Amino acid sequence: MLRLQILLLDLGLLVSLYVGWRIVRGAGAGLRLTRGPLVPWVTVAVSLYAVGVWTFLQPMAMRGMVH
Amino acid sequence: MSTQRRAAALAALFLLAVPAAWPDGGVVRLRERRGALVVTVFTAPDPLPAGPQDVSVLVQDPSGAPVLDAEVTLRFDPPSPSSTGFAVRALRSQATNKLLQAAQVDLGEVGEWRLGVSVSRAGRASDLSCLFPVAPATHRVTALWDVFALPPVMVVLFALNQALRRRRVKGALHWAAGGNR
Repeated sequence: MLRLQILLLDLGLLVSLYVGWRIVRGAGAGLRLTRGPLVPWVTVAVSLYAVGVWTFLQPMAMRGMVH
Repeated sequence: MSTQRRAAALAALFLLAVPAAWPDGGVVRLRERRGALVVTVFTAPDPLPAGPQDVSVLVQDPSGAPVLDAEVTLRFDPPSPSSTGFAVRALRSQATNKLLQAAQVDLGEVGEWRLGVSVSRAGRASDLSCLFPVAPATHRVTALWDVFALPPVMVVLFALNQALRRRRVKGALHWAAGGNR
């Protein structure tokens, strides 16, 4: 079960990164210039992914509690 | 297939997978009616790995309304007769869902444990019990290395794909420029 949960988070992260890449690319940045504007997007997406993984690794009753 | 249709198909796939993801993770381990109380015990799904686990109990009246003033005590008896069991009080303060009463316990021994649930309210006590299996603990993060490796591997493959495409475009431009001379 945990494997499927993490896999769904993986897919969400990859789709989010791809969407960010498409937006930055579509906004006119050249192929070589896509990294800089992507950094905040990637940071947020990876942070959310990490929080999601951490949440799923908590025991059931501890989910949604931050202490 | 257009991009919009592909996106819609992908969204549908995600939606289909949502019930299977089972985000709260709990299963009903025991549900019995004793007198005027219906007691339901939740744990993580099988197999429970050895180590810290939480057990939640929902006490209801026959109409299904939650009973919040019942005292719930959980008794855990390990598989081997030589080990001694232990009892803990399930508390609402330990449960995220305040309709439940929960306890955190450490199930260190592998095998078939016996869980006894004692519910008392207004001087009347009810006892229930069930067996549940505890499997050897595997380090969960290590056991899931492949799903954690998926995003970086896909990003590297995508970057490689883009680099190769860029090189091909450059090569084609170079060839076209050379051909026009």
